[in-house]
Amino acid sequence: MTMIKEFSPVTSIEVGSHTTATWLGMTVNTDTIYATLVAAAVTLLLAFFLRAKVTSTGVPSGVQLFWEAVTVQMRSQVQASMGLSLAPFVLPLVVSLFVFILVANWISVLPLQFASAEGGAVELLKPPASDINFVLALALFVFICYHAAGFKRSGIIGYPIKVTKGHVAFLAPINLVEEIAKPISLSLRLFGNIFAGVIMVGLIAMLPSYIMWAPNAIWKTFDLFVGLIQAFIFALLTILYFSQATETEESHH
Amino acid sequence: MSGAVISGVTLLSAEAEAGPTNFLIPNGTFFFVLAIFLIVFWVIAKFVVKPVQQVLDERERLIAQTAQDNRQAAEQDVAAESEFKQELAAARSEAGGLRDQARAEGRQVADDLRSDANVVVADKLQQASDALRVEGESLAPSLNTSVESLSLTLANRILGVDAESSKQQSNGEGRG
Repeated sequence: MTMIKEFSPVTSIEVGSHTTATWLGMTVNTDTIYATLVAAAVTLLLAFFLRAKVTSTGVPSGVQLFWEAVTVQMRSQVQASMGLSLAPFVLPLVVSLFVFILVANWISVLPLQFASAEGGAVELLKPPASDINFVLALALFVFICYHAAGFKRSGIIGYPIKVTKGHVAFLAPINLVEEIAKPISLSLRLFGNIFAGVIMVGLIAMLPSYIMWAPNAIWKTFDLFVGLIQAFIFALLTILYFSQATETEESHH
Repeated sequence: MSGAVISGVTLLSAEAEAGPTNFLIPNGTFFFVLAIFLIVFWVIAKFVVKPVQQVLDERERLIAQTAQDNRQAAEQDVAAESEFKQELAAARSEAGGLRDQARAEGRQVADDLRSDANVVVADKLQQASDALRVEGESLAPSLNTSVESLSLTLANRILGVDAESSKQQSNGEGRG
């Protein structure tokens, strides 16, 4: 019976199922944490490799060129929208967000699938962004950070008034809704894209094995692109929200 | 009535406790992921962005310095060339002056020598003519004394007569 089950083709998709455990009295999705740790390890490895080999006069290594390209790109974005001096931690924040999300998304390209006991296709390393906890953690952290920067810039009373009033006073309710929508759209955009990728892989896994490889290869290639774009958009929107939070009435142009 | 309410409550709680109910509701994973991200953020801020920015600044500084050095070197080159040209022109004019001076000096020396030579020549001519005159004057009386006899002898030879006697005759005729 079990033999038949093991060789039977995958016929169902499990959506949003996680292996859970209870740590510190909280239910945690261990598969998400495992994949997040892998992404963090890769990112930190790249970071420490750079730290060990960084050079300003010699020939830079490939890792250094990667970090330099990301930093230069993000720096120009920050400079164009708000200037580097307003919130000096924005640049490291967006660089970490971009690289961390990129690595986390690209985890899903590894062809590490197995069939679960129920007959569904399970990824050994699920992209962490297909878990709502991952995207919410990042988006809420960004949300708190840019509001903190706004309070620092416009004052403890001036900032809420500025955010609520916006450009025109009678649009205050809409401004409030927009402000609440920002972290939700920021997190759900990333979640939706990566989650859809996981579902696509699950769907493709239902195809017979003699044809499955073709759409799988095509989809995973496209998923690389989606992962890059989503990481970039997350970083870009973070910069945008920071620049909106730290702009003042006089600095409109 | 109350039993229905209780059963409803137990149903809800059972749903909440049933674990994988709604994957869109965040759970404790949130805090672990946040902690992991904060570590990544801290490491990247400290070990990546900071050194990379230093590297970029350093490289920009080196590029600016190289450009500055290039400009300075070009300026120095232009200055050296103009100085060289100036020096060359000065040297040329000095050389021309020296040449002119040398030529004038040479002419002067030649003129001096020529005039000295002229003086010497005049002196020598004077001496020679004086010597000749003195010699001539010293020879003249002796020659004058011999003129008569010589002319007589010559006349005798030409005429074939004794001019001595005819002389005496002519003298007599003359007196007569």
